[in-house]
Amino acid sequence: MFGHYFKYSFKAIFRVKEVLFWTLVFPIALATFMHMAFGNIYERTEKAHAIPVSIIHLSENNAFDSTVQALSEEDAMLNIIEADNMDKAEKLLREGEIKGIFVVDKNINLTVNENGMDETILDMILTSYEQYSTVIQSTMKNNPQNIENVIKSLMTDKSYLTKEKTSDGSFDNLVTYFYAIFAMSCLFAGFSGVDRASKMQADTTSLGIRRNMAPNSKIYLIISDFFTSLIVQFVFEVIAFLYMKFVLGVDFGTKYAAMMLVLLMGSGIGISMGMIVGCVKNKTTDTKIGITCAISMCLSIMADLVANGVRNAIEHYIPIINRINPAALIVDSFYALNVYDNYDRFFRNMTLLGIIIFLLLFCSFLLVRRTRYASV
Amino acid sequence: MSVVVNVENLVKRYKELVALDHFNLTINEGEIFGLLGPNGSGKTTTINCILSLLQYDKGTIKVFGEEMKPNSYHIKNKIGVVMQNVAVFDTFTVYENIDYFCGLYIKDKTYRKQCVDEAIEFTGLNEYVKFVPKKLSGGLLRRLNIACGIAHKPKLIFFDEPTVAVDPQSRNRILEGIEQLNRDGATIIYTSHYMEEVEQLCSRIAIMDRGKNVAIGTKEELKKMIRNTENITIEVVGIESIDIDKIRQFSHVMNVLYEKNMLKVSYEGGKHNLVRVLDYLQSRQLSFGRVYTEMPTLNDVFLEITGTALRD
Ligand SMILES: Nc1ncnc2c1ncn2[C@@H]1O[C@H](COP(=O)(O)OP(=O)(O)O)[C@@H](O)[C@H]1O
Ligand SMILES: [Mg+2]
Repeated sequence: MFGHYFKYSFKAIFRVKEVLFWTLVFPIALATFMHMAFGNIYERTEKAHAIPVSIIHLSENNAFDSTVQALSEEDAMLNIIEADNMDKAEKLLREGEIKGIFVVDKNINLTVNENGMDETILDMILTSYEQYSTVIQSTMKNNPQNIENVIKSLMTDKSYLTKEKTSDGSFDNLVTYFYAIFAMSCLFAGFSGVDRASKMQADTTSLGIRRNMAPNSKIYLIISDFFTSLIVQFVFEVIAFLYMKFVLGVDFGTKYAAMMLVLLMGSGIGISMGMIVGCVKNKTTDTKIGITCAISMCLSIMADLVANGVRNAIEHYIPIINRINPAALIVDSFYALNVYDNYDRFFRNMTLLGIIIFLLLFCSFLLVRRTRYASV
Repeated sequence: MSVVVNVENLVKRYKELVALDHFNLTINEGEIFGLLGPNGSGKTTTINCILSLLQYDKGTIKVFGEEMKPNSYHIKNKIGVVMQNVAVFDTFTVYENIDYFCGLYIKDKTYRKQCVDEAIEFTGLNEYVKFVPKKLSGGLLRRLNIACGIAHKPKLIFFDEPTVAVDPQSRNRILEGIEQLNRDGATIIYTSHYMEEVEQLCSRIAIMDRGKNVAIGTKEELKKMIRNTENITIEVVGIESIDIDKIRQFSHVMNVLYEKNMLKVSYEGGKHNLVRVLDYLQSRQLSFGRVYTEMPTLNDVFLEITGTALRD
């Protein structure tokens, strides 16, 4: 039975031209437009830039000093701006001359003013430094004879970190626009979700009437329509991705498998969102399309498609919104992949997306199962 | 003879509008049952309630002896619907459409193919199997709509105005097809506002008006319910109102109408009625043209029961 539903579900989606437009042509066109408009800036900022930072010593810490020293040479990750005291440093920070202040005391503290890419890197530097210093200290205590090797390996690690920034990581802000295009085109998959749900509903389409007379549970429809839409949408996203990478030359880093997972989950969230809107009863399809459009636009704006910084502001004041805004989760997952070495944040985001998709589909099913309509 | 559909005291409101007002209906196995009523009388609403598509305010609905619910899948398995609006996928071909809907009921692929082919044969769509609906004429589209509703060989089939906006050729084909389905064992529920169709096709008829079942029975029974037995229509120019009053006083005359040079006289009983009217017109030296005399139609039944004509 599922086989039959799947087969025709595929046929149905492949022949709807509007879906093709919104999900394939739209992201490619928008990406091309962005590339033409911002191409130059993109080239310039793609080169790694040193992050201006000040260091205030309240006590001695040679290990930290030499780490910072190493990071401001060679590939120059940091650009140390001299500041005599905390007041001066804070003034520089306020004026935007520097991005952060390291205060070296018993522990090392980082003060930042904003919540952006550079600040994240500073935070990351500090975190890895703290991890290393623990390793060094415990090695000193337990196997002093091994200390040379440990430091060597840490040095390699450090150079990896430096290298990642210039060749692998994509730390410029413009790439986040391309992430947002993915987020938006994933959300626009909502239109195909609405379309498919409308065709299950007896009160919106005559096709829905006939399908309501089928002697099978609606779960067949929901599942087959969801997964076929998902596959098609995913393929489109991958095409858009390849286009951006190879034709426009956007640097997305190298964690391809993980990025594909983001696109898959993103497609899933878009379709399931459309489906639940489409499964609401007693609204016309046009209204539902309008609602989906409004939702996608809002979520995309909050995920920085229109202006950079909205997402960070939300993170600062109401972080929970970024945890449940699918667009923000998609953008953040890309970002986490490129900025962080580990996959914790990435998998947290994937899990959140998975839960949201499941809930949306389940609620869609609840809305259409065993239902009688107020008017047909 | 078992009861296939039983509707009792069905009430359905759309906000203030009472679309069905304590509606009752019993349909027996093997019937072609006609629901006849003007547009807006509640035929489609009745069907949608029976099919559990619509919420209703009151009443009980049983199909094949069981309460009908949205998840009564074993009942739905035996039902076919051909709705007023064509319900097919625009992007599927004729064959794919029929196969899709048939496949919702029939899992066995070989048997399904046989059913689909039979439905195509039955509706005469053989030449069009590869066409998409957009390429079909109105009549062919209706036939596809029918094929999608009946391919799985349902025991109970609902036809909601299947001949609206259909050319006469397709229309006859559709009506013959319905009779064939009935001969093959299906119980049919047929709605229409065309009394001729219902009269020709249906073994039993319910006449609906404003959400009520105003009369039910075979066409003979329905015609016996009214006093009218004969309607005479005569084309005559320049008749005056005294003449009309005179004719009105003839015995057995129920009603006399004169519009657009047509004199219409309805009778209850009586013999040689036509001769008497023509004699009178001759005696008044009024010349007349065409003359018809008819048995009462379902329209007269409707007219007499509700006070308005079926077709406005
Ligand atoms: N969805 C609806 N909302 C409000 N009123 C409706 C709706 N559908 C039908 N009606 C009203 O209910 C009455 C019966 O309609 P319907 O069952 O479609 O009649 P029929 O099929 O006999 O032409 C009409 O007065 C119609 O205007
Ligand atoms: Mg109707």
